[in-house]
Amino acid sequence: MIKRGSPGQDSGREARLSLASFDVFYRRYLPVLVRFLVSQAHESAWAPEIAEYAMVAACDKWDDLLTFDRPDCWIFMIALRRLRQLEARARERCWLTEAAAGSDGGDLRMVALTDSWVREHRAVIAAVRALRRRHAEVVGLHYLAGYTVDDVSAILGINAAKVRTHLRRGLAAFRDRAPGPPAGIETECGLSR
Amino acid sequence: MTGEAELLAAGATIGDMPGADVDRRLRKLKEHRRSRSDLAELGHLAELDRVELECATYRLARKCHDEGDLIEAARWYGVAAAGDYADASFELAKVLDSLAGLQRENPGSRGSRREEFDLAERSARWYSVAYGAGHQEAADMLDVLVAGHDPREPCAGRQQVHLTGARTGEVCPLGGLRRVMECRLTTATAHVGTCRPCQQELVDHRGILPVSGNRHSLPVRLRARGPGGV
Repeated sequence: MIKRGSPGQDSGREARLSLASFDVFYRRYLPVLVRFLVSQAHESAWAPEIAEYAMVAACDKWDDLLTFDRPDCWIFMIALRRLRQLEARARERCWLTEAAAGSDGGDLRMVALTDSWVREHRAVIAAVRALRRRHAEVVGLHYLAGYTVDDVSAILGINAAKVRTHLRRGLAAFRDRAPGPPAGIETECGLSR
Repeated sequence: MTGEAELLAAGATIGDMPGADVDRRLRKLKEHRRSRSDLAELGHLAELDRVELECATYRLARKCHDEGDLIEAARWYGVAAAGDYADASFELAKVLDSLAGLQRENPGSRGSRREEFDLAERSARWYSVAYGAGHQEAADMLDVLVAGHDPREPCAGRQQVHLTGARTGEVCPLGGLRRVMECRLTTATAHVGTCRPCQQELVDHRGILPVSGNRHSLPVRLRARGPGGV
């Protein structure tokens, strides 16, 4: 995984270090994975379930995972595929609409009760959730999980140019939805991306 | 930069979770792995294989697409799009759009028009899915698709069918099919059974059903009473 705040730097090396054992890997990536999924899934209850599903998969395939260049990318890919499969099935059964998928619907409040990070950044998460699926994925992976455009491209299976397009559009849509920043944040982060 | 600042502020602390919470989840996961049955384990592995299968079908679809095999490309994009893989839905819509266009330009049979509309309808559905996923250009392509497959317009590539025995310049003594349809059904049926110009007009209209796509050119009887009206 990536050094937070400066996506992409040393990401490969850090990912290799986290492969010392499954427990180290789990402790390193589970929080990011669960919270990233909270920002993507319209049903917050799916996030821990899907994260566990992906982690069980990593544990089952641990020997194979050790041979991967980016095992962290693999686990994000598995989790996202699982989420999108579940949502595609839900859409097929007509109980999930695009509008519902983008709504907070109050279930974020439930997660916020147990997760302080969600509580603190609830408005941001709700705004990411309101984006269209590909935009939310790209924005979430790049800005929240801290992956580079190339990593996002590998996770989503789309080329880097399309990732940049989704990122630009996603960010524009996010700006329309997101509330103003908390004081001091902009200077703290020194953001020039 | 407002949006980026908020996102990065959230991203900066996303990995900070109390150790006890993570350890509790890890213990739960190990317990879950130990207690699951062989069948559950196999099911899990099969689902993982399905993920890789989606990726493989998408690559296969791209290969077929590059080689110009649109039918196979549509087939494999369809498998990938069912699971919302990458931009498979958008690519599938484009391939179906191309197939509908080919069908329109090269009609092979009487059913070609229906096949064309079927392909166009499926393409439109996948353009909508792609638009919902975030491919904004899908909306423009959907507009072009709808404009290009108007059922009210005659098919440009369609060859005129001439009935055997129909003489050029021959006219219907009752004034044409529209007039005939205003007669009683039994009279109209008997007349169309023997009148070559009316039969030719019927063929040109591609039967009664295709006419229903064009409300303006509907014979009076069909418009007023429906197809079964007398």
